[in-house]
Amino acid sequence: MKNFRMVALLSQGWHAFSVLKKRVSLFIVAVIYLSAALILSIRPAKANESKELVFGMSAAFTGANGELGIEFYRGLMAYIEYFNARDVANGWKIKILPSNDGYNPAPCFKNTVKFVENDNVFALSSYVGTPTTTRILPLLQKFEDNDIFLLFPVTGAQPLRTETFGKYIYNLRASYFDETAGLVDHFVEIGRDRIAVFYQNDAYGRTGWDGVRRALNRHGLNIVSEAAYRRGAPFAQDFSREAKLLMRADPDAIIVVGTYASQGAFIRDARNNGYELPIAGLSFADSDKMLEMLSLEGRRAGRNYTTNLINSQVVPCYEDVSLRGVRLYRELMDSYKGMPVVRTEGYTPRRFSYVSFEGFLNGVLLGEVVRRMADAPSRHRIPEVFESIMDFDMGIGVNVSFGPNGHQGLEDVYFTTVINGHFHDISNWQRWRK
Amino acid sequence: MKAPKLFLKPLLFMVVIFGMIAVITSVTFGNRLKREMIREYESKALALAYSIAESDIGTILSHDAGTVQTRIDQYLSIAAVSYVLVADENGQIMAHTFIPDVPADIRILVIETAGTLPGDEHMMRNVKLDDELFLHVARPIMFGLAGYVHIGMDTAVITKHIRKAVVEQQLITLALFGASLVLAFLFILNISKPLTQLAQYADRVAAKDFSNVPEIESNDEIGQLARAMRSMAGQISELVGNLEERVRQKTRELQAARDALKQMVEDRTSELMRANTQLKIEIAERKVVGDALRKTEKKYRAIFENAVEGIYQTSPSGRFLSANPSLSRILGFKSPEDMMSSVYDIGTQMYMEPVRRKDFKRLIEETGEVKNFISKVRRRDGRIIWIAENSRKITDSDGSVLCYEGSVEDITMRKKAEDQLKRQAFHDPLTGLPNRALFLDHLRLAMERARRRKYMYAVLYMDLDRFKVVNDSLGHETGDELLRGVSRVLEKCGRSMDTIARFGGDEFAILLEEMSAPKDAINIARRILEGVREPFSIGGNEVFTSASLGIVLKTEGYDRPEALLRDADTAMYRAKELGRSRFKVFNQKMHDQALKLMELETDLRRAVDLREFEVVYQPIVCLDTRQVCGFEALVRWRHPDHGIIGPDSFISLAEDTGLIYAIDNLVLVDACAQVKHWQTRFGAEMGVNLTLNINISGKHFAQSMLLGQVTRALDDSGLHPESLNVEITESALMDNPAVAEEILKQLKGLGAKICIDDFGTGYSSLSYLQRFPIDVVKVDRSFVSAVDNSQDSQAIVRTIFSLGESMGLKIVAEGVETPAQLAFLESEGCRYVQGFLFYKPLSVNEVDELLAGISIG
Repeated sequence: MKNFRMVALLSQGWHAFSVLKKRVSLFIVAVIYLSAALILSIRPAKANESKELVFGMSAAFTGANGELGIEFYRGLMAYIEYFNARDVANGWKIKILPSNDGYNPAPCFKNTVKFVENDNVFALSSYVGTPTTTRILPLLQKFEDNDIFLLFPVTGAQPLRTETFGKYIYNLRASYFDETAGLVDHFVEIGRDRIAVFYQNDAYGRTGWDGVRRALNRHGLNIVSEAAYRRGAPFAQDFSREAKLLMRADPDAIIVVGTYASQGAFIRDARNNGYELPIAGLSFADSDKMLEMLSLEGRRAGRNYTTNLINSQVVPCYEDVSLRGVRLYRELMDSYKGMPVVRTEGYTPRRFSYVSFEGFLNGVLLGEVVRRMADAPSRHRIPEVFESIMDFDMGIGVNVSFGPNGHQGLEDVYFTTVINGHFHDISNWQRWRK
Repeated sequence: MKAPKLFLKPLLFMVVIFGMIAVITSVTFGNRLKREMIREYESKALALAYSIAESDIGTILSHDAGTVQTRIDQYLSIAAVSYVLVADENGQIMAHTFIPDVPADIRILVIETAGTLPGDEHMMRNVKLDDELFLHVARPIMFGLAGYVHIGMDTAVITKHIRKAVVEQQLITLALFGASLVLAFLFILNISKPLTQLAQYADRVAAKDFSNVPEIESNDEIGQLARAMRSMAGQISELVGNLEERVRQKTRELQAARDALKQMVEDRTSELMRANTQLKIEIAERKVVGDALRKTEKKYRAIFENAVEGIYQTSPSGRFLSANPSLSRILGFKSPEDMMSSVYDIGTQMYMEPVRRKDFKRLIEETGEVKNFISKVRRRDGRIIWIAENSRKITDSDGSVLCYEGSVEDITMRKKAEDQLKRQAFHDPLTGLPNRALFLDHLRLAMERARRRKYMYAVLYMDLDRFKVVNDSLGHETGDELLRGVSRVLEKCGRSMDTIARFGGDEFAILLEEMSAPKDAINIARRILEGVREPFSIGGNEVFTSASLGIVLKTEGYDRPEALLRDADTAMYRAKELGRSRFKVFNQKMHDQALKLMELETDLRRAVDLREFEVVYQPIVCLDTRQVCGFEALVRWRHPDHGIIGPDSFISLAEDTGLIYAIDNLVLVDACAQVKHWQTRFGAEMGVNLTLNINISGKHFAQSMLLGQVTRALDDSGLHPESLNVEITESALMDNPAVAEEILKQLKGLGAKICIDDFGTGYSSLSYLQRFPIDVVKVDRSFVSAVDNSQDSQAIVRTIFSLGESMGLKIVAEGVETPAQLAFLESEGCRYVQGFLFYKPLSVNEVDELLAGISIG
């Protein structure tokens, strides 16, 4: 009926257009456009009527860090599909609304605004990347009245864990400070106290750098040399100059705060220049992808780039099938076939990875959150639900606890090194003793 | 296309002008643009530094390097920003955007800055890194307590932007220059083409070739020229043919005409000679008349030019049409011509208030003339003078104004004299202070103000204590100098809005305006008293004085300034009575006393009119015979309500009001008649010539009428002058010794005797006793009554007696009340006494009885 009227109005409008002066006709055209826009905007509101909770996820699905996002999304979706299929939350389903930001702050900002204002999301979840996520923090404050929370972002950055914005965020993974402190403590313990830092020149890199610095300060030490690189550096970039710059201070170990591409490239160039000292990376670097790249490069160059590599992780090793969580993860990943909306050339999904395992665990906790308010889900109940999560067992050997005013689920850091072409937990640091 | 020669110069001129304009604008605006843009980039860098320093204090303070990095990353997207660095308060780098690492130069700069950049300032300098120049700006966060922000702007980018803008601007100028040239060339070509054609055609016409007329159909001046040339060429070719024939014919006609003309010239010449003779006669006649006219004109011009008053004619618009030297002299111009050429608007150039010219014109339009129109005008040299104008309107037969004609008189001196007079009328010439009239005027205004709104003011009345002593002992000049000094003190104590006036003598009055509280007046009074107490250095002497002040604080309720002043005066007298050098505020009690006094004054006036006074007589006893030998006449007031009132209660009032003259005279006349009566009735039997002592008030004594009154009383009564003792108080004599001496001499001239009353109480010196013609001295009753128990009084009395004896004075002791006093007096050789021991003052009847008794006994 309404559409019919519109058509009538339209035809009248065109008739008038031919008769009336230009000014009047312009006005009518404007009216028509406005009416059309109104009718179109009514539609998305209906999505709320079904029993579906939408979660906005902004992550890099393309670019130098794209595979991190894709892997993570796969792990997440593997569990979410499993969750939706089982119908354990009073008929409520979880819908993840992924949006690509290419690891750049500005698109991430736009995505977030769109999630809240147009998509009417239930919460923001599983954002990937520090520079992107730190940029949207003021938005959380802006949308405070709408009870918009950010759940389990894939970053260990400090601003998400401290005052001003920390209260809008629930973190699952341990912080970069935890990771860098662990690495530094271990290095110092084995006598490697001259530590250099290679870091991404943005909030992520700076947080890692800060973490290393603070940890060293606690031992009465300081960073001996440092070098930054521009975010988005591809694997092909040559970091020989940076490697030499760092080595000038004769460090005992190098901690890299970067992405898989940059860290891989740096390791390659450091080794090519003959620097064989231990090089450690953080969980965010997607150690599996990096290993894949280095192995490929090693085969091409005829040398081994995977020795003396250390990576900290925030989830346990996915090879440890003694853990119930790991077993479920491996089972679901094997049966998961989905791909993210954005396709990246030259990418083949990995069977298992630390990243997808983290995504999977994010999904488990997200499912638990929804399940706990399945009677009447609403945004303002989110803090209440998190308060109720105490010693929640995800089957990974440690339990997740939030409790009152808790915003940090896990604090455990795992240290891995390459053994037989795979990352495994480090059983003995003494092999690197100086 | 060839540029025509005629327009080559304008074209060249235009090229040069356009070129110059282009070059100058290009250079000027290029430089300006460059400056502006550099400044803009500097302020941009500074603004960014400020923005970081001010917006992220929280995160910087918490050393949250990650968040700080998030912030500073955003600044890199701003054009020309090359790097941002945040350091903590010790110069430790917290976050930066350098890749891979912070250059050593910047590192040094950061540490330097942390130590040296103070508080709220910023540092801006150029830094060279890897052969590139950066504009480096550093700015403290929270005065350096939280750290420092450093921002680097790539000057290459800045320079590029600037160069681009300058080149763009110069290209536009160049293009405009080129376009202007082409346009100018085409324009000139367009004008010159038809002109060239016409010029060529004109050349042909000159060679008598009238064919090939150029076709120019434009509507402008050139078109007109072409058309005119066409028709002209046609006419010329026609004319040229005719002309040759006509020239020949005319040559013949000309010959004939020449002959005729020759004849006519001869006739005319003789005619002219006759006329010439006639004219010569006429010229001679006119010369005579002209001389006469010139003489008259010279006479009037002499009057005009030599007049003391300025004489002028002015146009209604305000110009001088004519003026005499006197006017230019008054207005300070060299000559009338100089004045007439310099002054074109009298209203603004001459009058101090331009509105005066309007007034002048209005008056003259209303009545046709102005009389004694006084204005302030400015002379050429800037001096201001006063002039009086008398002027009238000159109209033509239609009644429209031709000019104003009038005279001007410089009345500056008169005006000054008037002002001087005016000032003198309202100011005291000695001190320059306002006088009583002006003071009363101001007081009236203050009262008026207080009636209209809440307004507090007060009046102080001041009198110097013992000023007379200064005046007498140090001379009038010193007295005047002291008054001037006191005036300065008062001016210093008073505030600018107060009125400080001298009323004459040593009386001053102060009107305190706009008071906030009564205590203001008290404070000022205290200051005045202190100030006056300070010694005045006059002619090398230190002169001390003091003042008494009366203050009226409650000024509401008065409707006459005189009443207010009177009360201030009353309060001042109270202050004096209380012991001088103090102030007294007029209060209700004084008011009541004043009222009572006024009542008494009214009664006293009536009493004088109704003769309510009686005279009583206290006998004076001669101790030799113990007999009455005379009387002192004393006045009593028989008040209808209060009964008998003694002189102590009203004499001072009578003195103040001037009624004393009447009262003294009344007593004098009555007593003379009465004593004469007693002399005739009892004198023979008693064998004594009864004397009469009459008290003359000190105030009365100074009056010239006294002598006349005494003479008349003696004449009227027939009393022998020898019987009359005129009693004067010692102080009355000392008030003005010179006058007193004169009057005493005159009284003595009449034959009367002089008696000094209350001797010993004043401060007269012995020299006066010698100088004045004194016959009798009365020992004051205070000494007499004290001789019983005071050695001092005994000594004084003894001294007076021995003094009187040696100087041949008759001495009378007053107030003898006890036998002991009498015994002492007698022992000291006293011969005449007066007192209650013998008689109290007696009425006429009682004296009658007493005398009758004596004469019988």
